Amino acid sequence: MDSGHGLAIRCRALTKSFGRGETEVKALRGVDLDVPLGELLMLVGPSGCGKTTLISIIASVLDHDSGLCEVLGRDLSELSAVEKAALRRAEIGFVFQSYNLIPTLTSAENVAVPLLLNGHGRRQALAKADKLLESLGLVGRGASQPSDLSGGQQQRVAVARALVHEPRILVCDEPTSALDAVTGDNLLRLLREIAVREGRALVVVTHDSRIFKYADRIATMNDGQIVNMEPAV
Amino acid sequence: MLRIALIMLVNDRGKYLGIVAALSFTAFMMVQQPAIFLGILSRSTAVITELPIVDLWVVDPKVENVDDAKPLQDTQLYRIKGITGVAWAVPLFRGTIKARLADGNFVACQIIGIDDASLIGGPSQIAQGLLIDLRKSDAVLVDAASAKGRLAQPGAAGQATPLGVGSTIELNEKRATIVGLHLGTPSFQSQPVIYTTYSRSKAFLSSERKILSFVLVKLKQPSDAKRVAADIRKYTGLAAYTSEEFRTLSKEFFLFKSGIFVNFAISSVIAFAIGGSIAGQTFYNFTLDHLRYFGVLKAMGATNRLLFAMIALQAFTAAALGFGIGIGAVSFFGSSSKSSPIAFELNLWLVAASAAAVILVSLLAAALSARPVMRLEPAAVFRG
Repeated sequence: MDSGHGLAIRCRALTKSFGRGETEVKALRGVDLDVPLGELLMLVGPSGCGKTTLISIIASVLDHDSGLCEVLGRDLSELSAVEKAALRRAEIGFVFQSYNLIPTLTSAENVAVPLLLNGHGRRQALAKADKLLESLGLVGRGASQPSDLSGGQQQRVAVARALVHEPRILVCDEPTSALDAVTGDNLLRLLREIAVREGRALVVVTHDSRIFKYADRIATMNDGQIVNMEPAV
Repeated sequence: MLRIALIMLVNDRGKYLGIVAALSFTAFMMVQQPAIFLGILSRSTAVITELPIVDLWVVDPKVENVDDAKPLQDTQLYRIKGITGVAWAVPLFRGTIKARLADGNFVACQIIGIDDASLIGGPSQIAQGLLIDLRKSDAVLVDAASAKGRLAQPGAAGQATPLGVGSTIELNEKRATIVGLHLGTPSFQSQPVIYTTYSRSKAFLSSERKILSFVLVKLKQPSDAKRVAADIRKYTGLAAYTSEEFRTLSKEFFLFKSGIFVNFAISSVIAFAIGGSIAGQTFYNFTLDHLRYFGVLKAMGATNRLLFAMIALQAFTAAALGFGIGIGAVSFFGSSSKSSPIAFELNLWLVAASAAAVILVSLLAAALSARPVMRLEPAAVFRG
């Protein structure tokens, strides 16, 4: 599935605008980006610089206007909506800023959702979800509702949900914004261990400079462009 | 994923119960009101149903229903008896009379005068006394419910004494002795029903010159009904209907000419509109509350088709439960009102119509609720 160069994501001259005429906002102005498998890339920059637009396109939840965006070797502009949904289902894991756990489901059910979407049986999916939750330090919390968990625990449930179906790409949007410093630090260490070690590509949008040390590279965006790309210190 | 949809629905207790309650109300009202109407409709034709022995009902051609008796001349009875194919023909009077209670109040009653000789036309069930006792002087049969209720003798302490065999009542200023209590189906107007002989009913209503309401005909060959009915029309100018035809004629009158159907239909439509809109609105709100999570599912790769199936399943589940509770409540209402004067008749058509209405509500709710989910861009989940 990948491009053959170990690339998870390849973007060339990627553009995206919102609105038309005088109200048109150019969110991306020709972005070039390569993210190989096994790398943790952080996207940083001021609000409105295009970070969220870029990860939305990479995650195939938003269509770009022009340029090229290949995910695991597949040109997104050539995929139908159903094919994109299938790509997301199988190959992309999501960690959202506000966790976005479904409050009426238990932690294990939340984690099992990607497996169920991929056609796994309920029992098998819940067993795998429970196992993963335990490996993330949430022993015996599978039956808990998200509202019964702390912010850090909820984010770990969200990480488990992003990983459970073993996707090759993880897209994380401000994963530490609602967490304290220690919990955020633990989360990134966990993501790095579980995801990168297993050869996945991680794209993390963040403002949190405390976690920059976990990145392989940091791409700084401004006004719809990547203005700087450097390895993390 | 469909099970996940159900868990999402059931675990949002407040909205779930609200939707189910609204659909239960819709199902209940949509069935209960028409069931009462059907019960009333059945009562209107009970006099026909309870006389299965009769093959033809002969009436004035202008008669539109069984309660609309237009008096015939007694001589018509003899002319009908002479028509070929008629085994026997007996008179039946059906009219109203005022009963005077001991406290001076009057109660309008239905009085039925049956053939003196054969007593054909009497009530189908008798609780106390004997039908044959109608041959005694001043004898009448009173329905058991009215004997305990509307015709009961008012007592000094406010407690009414039920009428029984041997009690007397005053009908049109004439004394009548109760010789039995019957269990006949109440009339359309739910008035007390008093049976007596045809000749005695004439005496009770001495001011009326003609009282013959119907001629009840038994045929030698029931298959000859059409020919005999045509002959009756030809030789007497009267209309003759089989029991089924007369029942249909009466029901159609009450359905389409009485206005009562419109009243009940309006009740049902209002129930459908109110219950349906509350259920639909609550379900729509439920979906909107979960819009963010449907967006998450969409981002994670759920197709619109799957999301619609989830929403439809949630709607149908709530509908099935609401319908079940509503129909259960109607059945309970029906069984507990058996011993009361409330008319009630539940049939499969009503249940099916209610099911269709509840399904329609849930379909509309699902379709409306699914719209924002279908239109939702999965990228919205990244916008906080």
